[in-house]
Amino acid sequence: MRLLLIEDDLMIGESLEASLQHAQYAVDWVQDGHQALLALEHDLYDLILLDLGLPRLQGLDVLKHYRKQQGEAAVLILTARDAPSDRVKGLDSGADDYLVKPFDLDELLARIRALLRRKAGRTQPELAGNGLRLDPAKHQAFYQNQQIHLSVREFNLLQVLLEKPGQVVSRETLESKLYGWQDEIESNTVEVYIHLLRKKLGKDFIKNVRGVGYKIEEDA
Amino acid sequence: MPSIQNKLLFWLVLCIVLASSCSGIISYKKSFTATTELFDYLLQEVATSLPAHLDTKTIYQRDSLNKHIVVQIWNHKQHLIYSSNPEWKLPRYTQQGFQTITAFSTSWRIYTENRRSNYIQVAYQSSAVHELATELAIQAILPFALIIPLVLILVALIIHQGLSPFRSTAQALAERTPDQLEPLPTKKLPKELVIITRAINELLARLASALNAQRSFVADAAHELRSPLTALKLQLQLTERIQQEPQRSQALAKLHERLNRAIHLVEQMLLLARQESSLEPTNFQLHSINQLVVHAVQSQQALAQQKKIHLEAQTSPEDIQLLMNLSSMEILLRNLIENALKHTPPEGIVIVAVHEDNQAIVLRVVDNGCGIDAEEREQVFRRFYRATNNQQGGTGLGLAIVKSIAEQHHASIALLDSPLGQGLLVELKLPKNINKF
Repeated sequence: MRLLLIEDDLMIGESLEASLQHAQYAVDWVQDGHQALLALEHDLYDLILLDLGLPRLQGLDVLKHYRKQQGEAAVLILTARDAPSDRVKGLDSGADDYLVKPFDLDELLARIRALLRRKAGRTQPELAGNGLRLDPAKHQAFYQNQQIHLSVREFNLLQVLLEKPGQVVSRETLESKLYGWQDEIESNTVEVYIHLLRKKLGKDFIKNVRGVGYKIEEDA
Repeated sequence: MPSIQNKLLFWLVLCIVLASSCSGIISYKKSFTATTELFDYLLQEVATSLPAHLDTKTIYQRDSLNKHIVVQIWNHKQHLIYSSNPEWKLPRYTQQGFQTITAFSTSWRIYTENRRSNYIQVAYQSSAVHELATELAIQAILPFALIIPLVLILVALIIHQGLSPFRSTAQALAERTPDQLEPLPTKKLPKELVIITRAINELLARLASALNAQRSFVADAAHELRSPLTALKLQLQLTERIQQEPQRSQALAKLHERLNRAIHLVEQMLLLARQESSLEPTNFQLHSINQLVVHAVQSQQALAQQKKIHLEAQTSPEDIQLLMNLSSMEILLRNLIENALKHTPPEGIVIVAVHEDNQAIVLRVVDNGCGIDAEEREQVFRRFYRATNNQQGGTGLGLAIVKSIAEQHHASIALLDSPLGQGLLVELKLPKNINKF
């Protein structure tokens, strides 16, 4: 899952980026409204964390502009403004959730999970399909009701594929969901993880659609 | 203090009593004179109306009509031949006409006359005159005595009525909550109360503006405090999750960094609040401005060397003594020098210079750092405002504190282009006229 963090405060940004990375998200961090618009030009984020008091372009304007461009990522506003009217304005401008600073890291991560779940059209906190069950909160995976050990990237890759069972996901999309700007991407890396996963889950668990991408079959 | 109403009543009653006493005494004196004249006339009339030829044998006749009046007649042999009242045997007084004498331990008024070798003496007791005069005097002051209670009631009513605007104003004030600081109405108020009400209104206006400033500060502060606290909390929770070294030590170091930032913000906020709450210049003393500058530069020299910045003090050739609040001016200079050092790259220059021109003592802090955009130079003095190109993450309070201190010293402050090609020049003009303080 790839997140965009829009936060002008250096220390908050630094700590948030580190915390989100620690929670196994791919994170990109921008510090003003203009950079945010640039980053949002390619709509490859699953979720946007937005601070409202930004230099150059206010957070709400970034949000309105993004929604006007049909941007579909979930938007979670992080702000020090706690007046009910501010919350209403934020949510009405197209935000999906609103968290007032200072917030609890656990709560932030839980809200991020909930927003991602909702965006994928799920109500269950766990993802399941084809005998595989993923618990994003605890980062645990079960196959045929047996807990299996997955590396962070393996887990994230499976999560992306399980969000849309039956649908083909391109290699590029998978790559963009797994890595932030700062992460170095080795070539063939998606293929490497697919290979490792097939070893753990069986050859046919992840199907390769030649020239298009990968998919996990829907439950029969 | 006794109430105005009681005080007025007390003095009014005292005046009435004094006036009626005076008028009583005067009317007594007048009545006494008039009565004496009247009695004298009567004495003379009595003496004149006596028969001219009384026989020589002695007659004692008790005059039951008036015990105060004694008529006595002596013949030419000095024998008492007539006395109207045998109880009072007055001696014969040879002097003719009116006189006042004392006999039988009481005062008498007598009239004596020689007629055809007889000697007539008519006398009356002075106490009779006194009694009559007293009676007349009492009648004169009686109306006053009766009027006193009436006047008191009337005056009390008038005063009560006259003071009612005071009571209604007091009630209007008492019913207010601390938020209600709008001015009191001055229409329909007596002149005396308008003065007080206006003064109260001025005070209310000052209070309201101070309260508004305080409110906006609290609102801003609440907002601004959240950022360092957010960073602090996030970093703490992140650090808790990291198990491996050296990541954990690095996270802890960042935790300290964030804690220091929160502490710095709180300190700056307190400093500004204290600075702004001391409206009156306090602790102003004569101090050498050269010395101030040299000290300030010395105390920042270590930080400058750490950043490899050339920090220099250029003092004035003449030592200028100026009335100032030393600790405030130290804070002002420290903030300006810290700002300059913060926004000047390594190998840069920061100069603190003092000189004297015709009107003012000019203190300049010059750097060749990143400067502040011209259109932002007014705004940076606002609380919590950070310049757009400020990447250093300050509290946004430094220059607000500087401005507050400058105002306390009646000094003007301006941000100008640095003469070093790039950067900022902060110019503080302190008025020479020390009598201002």
